[in-house]
Amino acid sequence: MSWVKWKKLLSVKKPYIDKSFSLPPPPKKGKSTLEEEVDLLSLYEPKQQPTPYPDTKNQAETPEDYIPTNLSEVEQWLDKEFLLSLNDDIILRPLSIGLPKTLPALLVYFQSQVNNEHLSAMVIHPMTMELTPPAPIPEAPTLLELLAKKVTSAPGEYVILQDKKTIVERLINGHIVLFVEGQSEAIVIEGIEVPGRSVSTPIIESTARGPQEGFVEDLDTNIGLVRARLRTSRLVCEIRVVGRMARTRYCLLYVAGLTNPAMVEEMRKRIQSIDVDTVHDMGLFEQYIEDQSNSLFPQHLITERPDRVSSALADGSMAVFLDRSPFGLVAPISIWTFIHSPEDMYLRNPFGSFARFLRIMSLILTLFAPALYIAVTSYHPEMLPTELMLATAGAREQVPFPVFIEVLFLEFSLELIREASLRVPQQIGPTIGIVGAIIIGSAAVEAGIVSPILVVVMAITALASFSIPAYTFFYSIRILRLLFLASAAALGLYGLAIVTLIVAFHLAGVKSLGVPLLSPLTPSRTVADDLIFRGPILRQKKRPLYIRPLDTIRQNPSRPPRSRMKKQKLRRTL
Amino acid sequence: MKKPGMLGTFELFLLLWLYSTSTILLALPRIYAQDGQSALWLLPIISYLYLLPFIWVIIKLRDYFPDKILVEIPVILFGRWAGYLVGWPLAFYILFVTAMALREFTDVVNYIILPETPSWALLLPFLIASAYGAYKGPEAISRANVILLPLTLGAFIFLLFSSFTQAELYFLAPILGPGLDELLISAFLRLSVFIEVAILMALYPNIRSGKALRFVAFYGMAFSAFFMALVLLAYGLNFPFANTQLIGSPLFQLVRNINWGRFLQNLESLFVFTTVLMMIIKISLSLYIAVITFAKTIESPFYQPYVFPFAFITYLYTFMPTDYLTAVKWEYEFLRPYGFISLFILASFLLAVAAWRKKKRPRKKRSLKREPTAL
Repeated sequence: MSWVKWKKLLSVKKPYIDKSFSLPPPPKKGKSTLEEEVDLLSLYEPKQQPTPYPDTKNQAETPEDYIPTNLSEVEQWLDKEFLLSLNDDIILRPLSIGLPKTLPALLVYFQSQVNNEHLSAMVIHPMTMELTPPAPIPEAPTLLELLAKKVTSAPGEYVILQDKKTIVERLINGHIVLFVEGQSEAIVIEGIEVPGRSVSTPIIESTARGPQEGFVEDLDTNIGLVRARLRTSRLVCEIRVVGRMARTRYCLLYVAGLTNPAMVEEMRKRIQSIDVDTVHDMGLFEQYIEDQSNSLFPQHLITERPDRVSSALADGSMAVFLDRSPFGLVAPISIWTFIHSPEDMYLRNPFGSFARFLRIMSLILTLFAPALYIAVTSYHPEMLPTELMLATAGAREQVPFPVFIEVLFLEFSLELIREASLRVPQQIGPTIGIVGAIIIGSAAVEAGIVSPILVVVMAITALASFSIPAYTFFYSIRILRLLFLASAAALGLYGLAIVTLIVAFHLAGVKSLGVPLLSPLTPSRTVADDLIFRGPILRQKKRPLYIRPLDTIRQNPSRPPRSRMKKQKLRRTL
Repeated sequence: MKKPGMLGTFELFLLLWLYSTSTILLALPRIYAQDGQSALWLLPIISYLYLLPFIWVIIKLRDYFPDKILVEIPVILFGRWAGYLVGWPLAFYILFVTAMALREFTDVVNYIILPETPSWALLLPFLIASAYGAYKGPEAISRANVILLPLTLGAFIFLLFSSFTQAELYFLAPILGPGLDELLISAFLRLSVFIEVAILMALYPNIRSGKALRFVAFYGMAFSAFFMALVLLAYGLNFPFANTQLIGSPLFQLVRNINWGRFLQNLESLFVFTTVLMMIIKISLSLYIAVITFAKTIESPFYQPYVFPFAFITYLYTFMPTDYLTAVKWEYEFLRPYGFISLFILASFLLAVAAWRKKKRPRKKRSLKREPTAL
């Protein structure tokens, strides 16, 4: 091997994402940035200017970059660019504009992305009609501006462009382009309509109380769902594109004056560093921007609930939506977010806290129950009371396998049921559950493959695991459980303690956009009575400080006391 | 060198508590029972009073060198040669002490819950976990300590409450054991039990402020001493001191005594779970301190590459004592006392030189506290 190769092998490449990013404290301020007049633009202005979307800038550098004035040349250029003879989706529709003097024009659009009715009613029909009054109006100095302002009745925005690159960019994003004979510019009209489903109930994060609507695949609808909940002028939505080939739109949402600007800048930096052909879904997108993509723990919240996103935004977090993905990404978060459900806040304090307590118990149970069973039965049977020890031994008498194999068999069966129920059509989903229950519940015990006590343990474990509200965290738990199982099988409680601590060390180092995942417990920060248990709603006065928001007060700290009726008055009223 | 992560006061307090209290899990009660007899529980409290000057030296030294660890200070004061002279022996001393604690602990586990597993097989995963912790650094170690606190501190509190139910008060008589004068002398001679406080000198750059250090050093060690006294009191109330001197792992003996009915008895295996957690955190931190001392001595920009080689050396050192009692003897008769004296003298000497140099400086360059490298 040559020296250069050795050097390459030994050299350390600078990571394209600054992995050591730590969220700095917010800049010092006197008054609330949400209420006072402050220069927010200077706070949030990107240090590195990204390519805006949609691109309205003139990107033309040489004369060849400008569109031709002759329509036949335009057609030739479009044929070269879009391979018109092969590409049946793109439509070139010639028309005559009905000005006092008829002008030939060419309407270009992608059939699959434009609503035909809308196109006919708002663009083609008004264009072909004779214009009245015939004279150009003063605020429309050019012909194209007159057409755009006076003739078309399309509700979306329009721009007049002259460079080829930008026009192509617009076309592939579902805009309609109108070329007019003799004009060196073209009108670009928004007319996109991509088929998609309407807003429906959340599938993964369903709750009994609270809003029953979930995100859909359309980016604008998703932004609308959030904006409907946060009607503030400070809600900023930066729309850009990601993916060299797919040019998928994404939106970075945050509340200016509340979200830490350093965090916004870091998020922008991470997203802009994505340099791939396509980013199909939020799952892929998440992996590109997270601090440790190989970690067992998710570092962002992926949610399909608009109320959850708006609540996070109001706390000072950020959200990202990707076009054609029905999930929103929330960052930064803490590990406690995964055991929180929006329902906890919609229910009163005791009920919400009880639900959380139940979930924490479930988490501990699902992680450690099978491992503890193995450790105790195989290595430390003296821990059990004599009767229980005898009952366990009696139940295991017929089973020819070691406990570890027994547990592994059941674990594998449960995973199979889970995986199968995800893949099969919804109509036969319950059948899978019944088949699984029969196989595991009775047949396996009768066949002497597993002991009945273990079936009970594993059933409780499986039930407990389903109570975790975050789907991505659910995967972490499944893998961790297997690790704990293996360690307990190898060295009993000793092994279990070792692996627990390795996991704890790992967890202690994981960050979500610069915020330690274990915060606000450690490093300890103010939590506004909403960490493991949720406190009374009136005590939750501060926003979570671990995400370092610019404005820390969530509700009026000097809330006036409620008026109380005197007993006498109450009696009279009654 | 990468910028070190900061430890919160709360995290550091708990880390120091765990680091110094975990000695009680091994042979310490046995040693104290030899010295203090029925008043064994008073020894940590008296020792703490003797420890105060050392704590003061540690705090003052940081005022002069807030972003340097102990081995970097001689380099600033005297030159590179002094760094080598202090750094190399110190790094390997820490490794050796760590190895002794590891040996004692492995033997206890081997004896109590896994008698059929060879020591080398018990040690290997333990050391891998510790090395991983050391690799992640003090920030991760302290955070892991905090999240596992319900298991560690909780287990101790449970042990205390459980053992007090079966206490026999007359085991504590005479209340001053061998007599006050003997107690005072024994506590002074066993001052090295609190050598753990010296870890603060390796964590100077990770400590936020002098105020935080003062709080952690004084109150953290006081809490540890108080906690140790409580556990020793519980022990003293359950067993006569004469028997304690013959028991290898006294605290496990205490756990065996727990009996809350049919479902809460024979909990020593469960207590091992907690003990393993505590010991891994302790060994991780020790390993980190040894490695950072070495890395700073040789002026390496990273400490991480040395973690696993050092863990391997520790693994080898662990087998040097022939048995548990030899390891205990080496630790309490040689390593701790001489180590404590050396560290105290070194730290005091460095503090004196730093103070003298500061005085000697002209007025305009007296910003020693703010810019430690100005020395």
